[in-house]
Amino acid sequence: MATYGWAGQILRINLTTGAITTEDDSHLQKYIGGMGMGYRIIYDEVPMETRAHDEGSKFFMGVGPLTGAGVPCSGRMNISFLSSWTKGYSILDAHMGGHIGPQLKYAGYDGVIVEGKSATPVYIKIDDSNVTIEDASDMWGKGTFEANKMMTELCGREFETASIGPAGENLVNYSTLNTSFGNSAGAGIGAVMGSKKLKGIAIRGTGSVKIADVAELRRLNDYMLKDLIGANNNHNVPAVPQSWAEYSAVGGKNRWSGAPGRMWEKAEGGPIDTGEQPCGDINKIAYRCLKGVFDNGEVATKYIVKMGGCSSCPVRCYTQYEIDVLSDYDLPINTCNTCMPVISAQMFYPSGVKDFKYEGDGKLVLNGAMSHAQDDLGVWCNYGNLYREFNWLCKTGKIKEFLPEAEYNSIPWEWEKNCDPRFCVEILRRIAYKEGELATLGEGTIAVQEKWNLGQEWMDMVDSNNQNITYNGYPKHHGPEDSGQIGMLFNLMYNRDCMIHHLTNVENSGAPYEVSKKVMEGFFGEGCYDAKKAYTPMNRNKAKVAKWAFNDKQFHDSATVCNWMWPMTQSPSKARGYAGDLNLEADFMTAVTGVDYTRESLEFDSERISQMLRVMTAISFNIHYGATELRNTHDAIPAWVFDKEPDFQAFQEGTIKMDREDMELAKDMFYEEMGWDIKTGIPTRATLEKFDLAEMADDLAKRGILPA
Amino acid sequence: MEREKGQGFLDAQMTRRQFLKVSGKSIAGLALSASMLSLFGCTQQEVEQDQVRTWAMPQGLLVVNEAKCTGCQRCEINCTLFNDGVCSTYISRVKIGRNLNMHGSDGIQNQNFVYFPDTCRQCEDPACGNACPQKAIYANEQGIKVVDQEKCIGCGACVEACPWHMPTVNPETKKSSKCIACGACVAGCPSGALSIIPWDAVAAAAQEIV
Amino acid sequence: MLFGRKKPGFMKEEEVVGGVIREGMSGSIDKNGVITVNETEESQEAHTEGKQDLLDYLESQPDVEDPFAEIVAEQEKKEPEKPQELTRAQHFAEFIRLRSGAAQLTAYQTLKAEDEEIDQIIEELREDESCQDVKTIKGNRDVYFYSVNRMSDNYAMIAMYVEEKDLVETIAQMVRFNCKTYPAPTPLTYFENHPYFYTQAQIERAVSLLVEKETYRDVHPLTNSEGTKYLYSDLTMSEVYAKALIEPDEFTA
Repeated sequence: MATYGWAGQILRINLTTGAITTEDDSHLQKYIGGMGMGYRIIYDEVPMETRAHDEGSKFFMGVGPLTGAGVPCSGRMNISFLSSWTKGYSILDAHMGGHIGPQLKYAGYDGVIVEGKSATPVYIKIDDSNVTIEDASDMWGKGTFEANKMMTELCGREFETASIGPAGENLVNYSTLNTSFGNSAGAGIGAVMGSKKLKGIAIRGTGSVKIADVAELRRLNDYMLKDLIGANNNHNVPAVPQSWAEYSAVGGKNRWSGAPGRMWEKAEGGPIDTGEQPCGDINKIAYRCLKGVFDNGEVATKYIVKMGGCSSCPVRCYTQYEIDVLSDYDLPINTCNTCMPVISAQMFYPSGVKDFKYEGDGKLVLNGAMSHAQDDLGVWCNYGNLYREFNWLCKTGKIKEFLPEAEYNSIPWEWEKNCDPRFCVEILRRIAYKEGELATLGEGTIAVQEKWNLGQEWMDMVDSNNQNITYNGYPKHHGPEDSGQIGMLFNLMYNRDCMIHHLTNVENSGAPYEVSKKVMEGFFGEGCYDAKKAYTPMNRNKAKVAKWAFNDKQFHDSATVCNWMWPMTQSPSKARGYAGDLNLEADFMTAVTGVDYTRESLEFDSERISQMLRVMTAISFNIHYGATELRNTHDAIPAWVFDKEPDFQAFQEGTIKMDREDMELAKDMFYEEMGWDIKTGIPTRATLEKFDLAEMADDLAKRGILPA
Repeated sequence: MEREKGQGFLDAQMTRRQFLKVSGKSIAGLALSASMLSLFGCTQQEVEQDQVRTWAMPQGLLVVNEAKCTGCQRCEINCTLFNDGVCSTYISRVKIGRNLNMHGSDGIQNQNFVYFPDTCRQCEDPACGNACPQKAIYANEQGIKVVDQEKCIGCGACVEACPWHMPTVNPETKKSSKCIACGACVAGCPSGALSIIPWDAVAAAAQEIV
Repeated sequence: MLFGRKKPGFMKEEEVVGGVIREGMSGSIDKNGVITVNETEESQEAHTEGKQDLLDYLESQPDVEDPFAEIVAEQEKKEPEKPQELTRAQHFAEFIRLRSGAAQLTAYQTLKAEDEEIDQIIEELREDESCQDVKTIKGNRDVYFYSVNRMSDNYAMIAMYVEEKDLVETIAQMVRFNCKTYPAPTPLTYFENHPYFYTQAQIERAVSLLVEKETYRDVHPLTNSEGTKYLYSDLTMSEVYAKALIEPDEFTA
């Protein structure tokens, strides 16, 4: 039933039978949307024994009540499915921004369940209530850019499209679904779709999202944009001194990088100065984030056309470059991305990078080439593990050992030596087409470890290329370097990199430590917030912060809003003492849906999703390894986290190395906060019943892993 | 350059009458003074490359600077929240979504970053109004052409007649809507790609050049 | 204020006159060798040769109907403007605010040179309730006015250092301030950006003078593993912590 916020129905598409049906989703609205609905659906419909590319595997492409509702930074889409590449093959999510999420809402759906397998290549066309499965034979084999263009030409320019590339078609585990320009969902969704012969999806919605209290929504929008929002990662202090601002981010990790004299130099019609962007001035917010400078240094401005990003977001974090020098290599010159593919290309060039046109532009030019190729091929990087592992292979010489001689010699190493942008493109191509032994890199960190007999010590070793935060096959995503034990804890919780930015957003905001500390302690109490690289032993308030971040991330991927921007923990406003507003998520939910949410009730609903994640993870580990607990299996922490920086002791000023006992205490406290059995890290029956998840408790009991 | 003859810009009303002459038209061949460029927030180069268009509206001069558009769709969001009480892109009176992916040889599907919002031209002799069989499009007390929701039968003649297809028949209400110059899109544009400059400010800038 | 308006004096283009910093002058920076700030209006004229001015063009065109005439006239009748007479102190405050909004301090010496009665005006301003946002910051060479409604105190401090053009003092004081406030070591590139806009050569020269001076012996250079150079002050930060803070995080986006 259509209500405020929610479209009220989900779409079910069976690619085996061609059946297309809709279902009322009122009963799923307590799971919010996106990730929450996805977990409920996958748990109910896909036996956890199922493997990702089986016929019985399904995925749920979901949006939420805030998607397309006009709330700032609400342009994302979440996709839930079973993993093909991590230990336990459990539930995980891929997420993407761009503009397609809101279109799904405008077409009248909160999500799409895709099941079965098509015999021939197809794409799904959703034109409001007119949903069809279309032939995609001509698109099969094409890159994502061309496939999306073909769908747009066939369907019309008002359609938003997303497609998989050769990597997904070839069932490469590291594969993405790509939309807009540089926006992609990873975690192997490409191969899940590829296994169903599903090339892409095209969506047009001519409808609308109904708002319960429009006046309140508009007021909240205004309040957020004037008083609360900062730049990318909601950094609340500009990187470079601005006359209205009390502080600037001297340390250099800050993403509010727009500043007087920093230009969009390649703008149509000549350079545009990003100038000052005072707090309160809505019409300049888009100039706050000049992400290219953060990613690739001051020289990036030479190639910047403008900034782009997702629907509804005033903070533009996707740098749109025209890198003309790439034409010398017959590579596309217009590139755009904002994540690992646009900061990491140098990892493919262990011999070093050189300048192309301007001093210091080497990294940027390579990244332009790489990000475009990676998006076109639909290759995922597992938050950089792909690059780290290639870099490690080269630096240790193992690549010669692991690759057959002919294959090793077939790699154009002279391009690597000459810093030719085609080198990284060629490596990615081999991975996307599963060519040779090297393509193992695209099968995942666990596959690399197993195939080349690297053993557990490979994930324990102290080496900058080893960022594995568990033994499950994914790296940390803003961990102890930003927030000590808090960052460690939420990095352990998922079945992929955690993608939680709650703490890094505060830690790297550029605001003085004492200012941020006051804000954080105001929300969570004394001792909850440590200075960078000067953290203190574990305490209860830190566990509470970790729980808040963990649960709130689930809200973000269910609502859906962007976790790089949300929550509004800090503010650029001096008048507010730089404090944000943690009630804002609930206030928006109330204004949009008409359901009365408080911060507490919203966290409760979000925690329900956390509990489902934990149950499904426990079941997967039980099925695949016979594990009866998660604490020392799924949540085990590799040795490098504790053994790095031998000159330091844990808790000394200047280190982020962790202490083993202290981390065990951290787990104790966090499990307690979550209502999990301390010994096993598995939710108790009481906890699950509190969240109306008694049937999950029964399931755990049946498998013999429900804590006594 | 002496501007003795600049008597045409002495006040807001006179200035508006002057700018009505080029409303929605290209000003690419013309030179703008430094103070005018400063006021418009653009450069002469942007004017020459036809990135900048102006529309005379009652409350001021609407300046659209295409190079500054970042495609965030907040103009569409604010348009529909303000005018329709819902959030949508299709029925928005300002249109960026449809240009973002593909318009002619431009747009991100064509691998470039040329995209910008289409705005209603507020034509003096409106094709939309002329085509309406119900005579539902009339000038309101602001002098802006609006759709009489009572009279509109949602036939779409206005959509077809408008050379830029700016009006839209709302599939949910079956009524046409067109821009009423409310300014919600401008107020919420995070990059200033859309801006409305009050007439007295334009007049002041015009007088400054001597 | 619209974004991108070229506020006079806001955008600065630097030009180095006659080489960089020279030694001498009892260890201070040679005035002639430092920065000359050309406060240029962006020179647009170059592009406009032979083109008709927009306003001339508009006037040359035949009149068109003004559909808004009556309505606007009506509205104007409803809201009659009440121009308020400002005192000269209030005018002065407005001037300071305007310049502060454009990221500029206003130097006392400049005011004095232009208006003999400035001291009296300042006195009046001090007594005017509506002008209490105007504050001063004192440098070694002059006193500067700014409005706290438009400019933060910390920025006024930075702007004061920039005005006074003593690079060594500026760098040392800002390194101390940053170490104490954030706390953070300061990368040398910090001084290449707004509002300093110093060149690499100027910064390097100033740093080489700085480390020689007894007054600044708490300030030390550091270089991280990527070759990026920093300064920190041991008054508020240990070397170990400074070294840790300047190392880039392990590869995150």
